[in-house]
Amino acid sequence: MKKLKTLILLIVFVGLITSAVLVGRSQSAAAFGVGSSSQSFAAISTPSSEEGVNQKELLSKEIQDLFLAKEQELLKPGWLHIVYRTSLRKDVDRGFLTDGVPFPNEYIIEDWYLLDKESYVIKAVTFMRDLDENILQKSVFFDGTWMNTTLNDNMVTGAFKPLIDGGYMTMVLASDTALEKNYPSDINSNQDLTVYEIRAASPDGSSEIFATRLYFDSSGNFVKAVSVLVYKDGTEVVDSETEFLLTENVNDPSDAVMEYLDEVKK
Amino acid sequence: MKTRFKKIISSLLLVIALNFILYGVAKAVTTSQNYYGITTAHAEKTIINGTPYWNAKLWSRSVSPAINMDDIGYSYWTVREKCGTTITNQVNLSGHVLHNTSLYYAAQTMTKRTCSGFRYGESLGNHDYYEYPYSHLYMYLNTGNVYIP
Repeated sequence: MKKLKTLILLIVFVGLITSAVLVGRSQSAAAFGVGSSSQSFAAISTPSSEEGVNQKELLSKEIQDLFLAKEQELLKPGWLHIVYRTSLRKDVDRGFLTDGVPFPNEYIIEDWYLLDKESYVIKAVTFMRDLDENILQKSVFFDGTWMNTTLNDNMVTGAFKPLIDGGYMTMVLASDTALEKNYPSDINSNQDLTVYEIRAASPDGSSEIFATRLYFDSSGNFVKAVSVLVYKDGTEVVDSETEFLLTENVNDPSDAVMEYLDEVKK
Repeated sequence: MKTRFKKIISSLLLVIALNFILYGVAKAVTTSQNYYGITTAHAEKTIINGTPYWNAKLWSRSVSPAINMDDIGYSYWTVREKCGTTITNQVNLSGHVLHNTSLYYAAQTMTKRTCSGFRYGESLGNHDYYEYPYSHLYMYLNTGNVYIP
């Protein structure tokens, strides 16, 4: 009995320490969101913590509404076609994708999803190409399984609906991130863009802040996502940039998709 | 009385476990191997989900008994992100060791890439142990695909 009581005390102690550490971590992460805009962006407000929470709710809702409008337009029976170009930071060793083929710093991804009436994916194809249009990776999805035929990699994922938001809405809604809205004056474009910035403190306690910026044009189209490291002195390093080139829902996929599906007999 | 205590313990363990799950200790893998009868080489890799990033961490340890090894670290380490089965980001870290210590630790933070399906992280590579006059021990360890929404 004495041992049992000691064990309980020990567990309570560990639980309290754990909670204290975790609460501390989430508070410090939230604190980075207050009034810390970067050099090239003008934040529209610098709210207090409480206002920050309300602002985050409002901004989250704004972003959610933008993505919901796109979902209603695009998630319907047919082939959902998404094309985007990604540039990764160049001063990083990326190793090789396959024997003799280095992992690219810049690439274009083309996703094709055949959707049913409930917007679930029946089959899908993903091509990764370099900028010279050479195919680097080919993947196909059917019967709840993804198969990368370039790398001979399989993965059972089960049924899913494609994320029009590219997986960024999860980041927007995460409790340990801050959210800001900015209007950049010039981002290599004459269009009026709105930028929502998701910010979080560095996980290792170093001076960086991790920020992901979501760019929307005046029609509400999600046009770009940029991940940056923001240092204490305000300098920034772009870790990656993804530009959305095309998002549409069409009746038929490209010839390349048909040929690939024939090749894998799906 | 014992049943009541058991229930309390179970509840507390559940709370602690949920804390860790909710705050994203996504997956940890470990392996151990005897090193020429002088120590046990212990390797560990974890993937921790965060926002808008995720972390891969690596530990190489000498344990039972812990000795300060001539070299301890890794000979290569690859951290990659996948969307479904398509690799969308990869970092290749060439070998690194510390000298005259029993513990090596390193971490790699990755910002998340666009993915309209399921996003995964993977960390793999060889841990490296060496003590004169014995040979290097290279232990391969892979976290496998870890879901990082």
